[in-house]
Amino acid sequence: MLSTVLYNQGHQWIMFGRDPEKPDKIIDTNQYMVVSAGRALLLDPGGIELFAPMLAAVLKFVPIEQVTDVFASHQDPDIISSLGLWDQVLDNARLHCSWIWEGFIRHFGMNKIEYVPIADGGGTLHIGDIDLQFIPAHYLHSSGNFHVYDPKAKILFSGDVGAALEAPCGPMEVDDFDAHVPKMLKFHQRWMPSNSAKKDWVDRVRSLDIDMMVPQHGRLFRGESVKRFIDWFDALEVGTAIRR
Amino acid sequence: MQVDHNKLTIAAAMVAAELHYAELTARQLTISAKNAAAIVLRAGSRAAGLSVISSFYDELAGKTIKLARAINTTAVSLSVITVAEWRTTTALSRLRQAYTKAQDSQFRSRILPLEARITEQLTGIEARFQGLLGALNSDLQEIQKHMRAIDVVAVTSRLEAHRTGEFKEGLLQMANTIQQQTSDIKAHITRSMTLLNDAMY
Repeated sequence: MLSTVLYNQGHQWIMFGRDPEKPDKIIDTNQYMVVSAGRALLLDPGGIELFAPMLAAVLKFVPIEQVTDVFASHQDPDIISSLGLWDQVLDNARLHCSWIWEGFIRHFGMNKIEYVPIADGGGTLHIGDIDLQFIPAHYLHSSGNFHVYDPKAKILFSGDVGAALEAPCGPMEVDDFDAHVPKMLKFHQRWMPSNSAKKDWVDRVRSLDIDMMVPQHGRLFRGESVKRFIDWFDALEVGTAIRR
Repeated sequence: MQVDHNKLTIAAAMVAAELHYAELTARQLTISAKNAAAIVLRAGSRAAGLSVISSFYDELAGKTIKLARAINTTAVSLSVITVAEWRTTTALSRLRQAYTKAQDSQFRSRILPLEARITEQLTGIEARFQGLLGALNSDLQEIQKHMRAIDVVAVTSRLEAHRTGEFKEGLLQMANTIQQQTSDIKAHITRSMTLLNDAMY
């Protein structure tokens, strides 16, 4: 699995993905880790099939006992179905996720990890020397959904928002936004159910200072392409499975 | 002898179902035994030889109910533990894959104590599994013994019934009913033992 350090100034953001040995038929995903002062947070650590390569990759940066926190943006299997396996190897860890999914996510297997529910309005996680913010992103697409904002690194982990479906061998970052739009269009039109939920998210993130937006699928957005994405998403009609 | 754990998970769940129905039939057997006892009472001295037999049916039926319930519980526990075993085995397998993939990871060695711990957990699960399997087989054999005993006694009760005059038909009917119920219970037990044996190789 490819490991890429996205940020390394006092604390680190590391992206894991583009595993060449990933089974063909599972959707490609990006996993992230934030490391600060002896603690590590896994963001959307991935499905069962990715557990082994993820663990191997994580151990390049931190010993396992330093993984104290896990975040799940929502309940989908590509995000958190590996939970039962992480539960076997993490002795003192907490899982942060929307309060609405606790009873459901426990079905993946959870005996040791502590579930820390996030209220609908969001919250803050102090990890090592930094504070991360849980930004509400409900109904984009999941009913209980959060993104993670790091005000120091100016990175927004945006979950399924910003996702693109393309072959995993493409570039890491969006270099030509207009050429990237077709890769995002159908996903956002079909998966995102609510224009009002989308508007709420746009209003929230426009007030954030974002250098990099990192989604759970597809390429990362940096600099100008972050703004272009927000404008593009703001203007997009979503919820296309329902005939109006 | 090796155990196919996947087959055994399913087999244990099916045994639980079989023993549930065996228990229901054993309850009917208790009623039949009590009905037989009532006829024997009415027959008085003409059925003196049958009063012990009807108590015997009742006692064995009661034991069968208890055993069937115990086996049902054990079978469910076995099914649960084989799932725990599968999950732990999966974790171990994925951990070993991670170790292989972590050739250039500086903290690769941290996997080793995790592997040791999970292997120990698996050993504990295996021990509990073998204990439950042993208890299951033992109880199934116990019920089989009871059913064989009832079969033998049913033959004797038929012979005795012929001496009871007007009560003969009723008592013969009871003996037939009891033997049919015993046969049904035996069928559940035989199927259960076959299911368990098929999961061994």
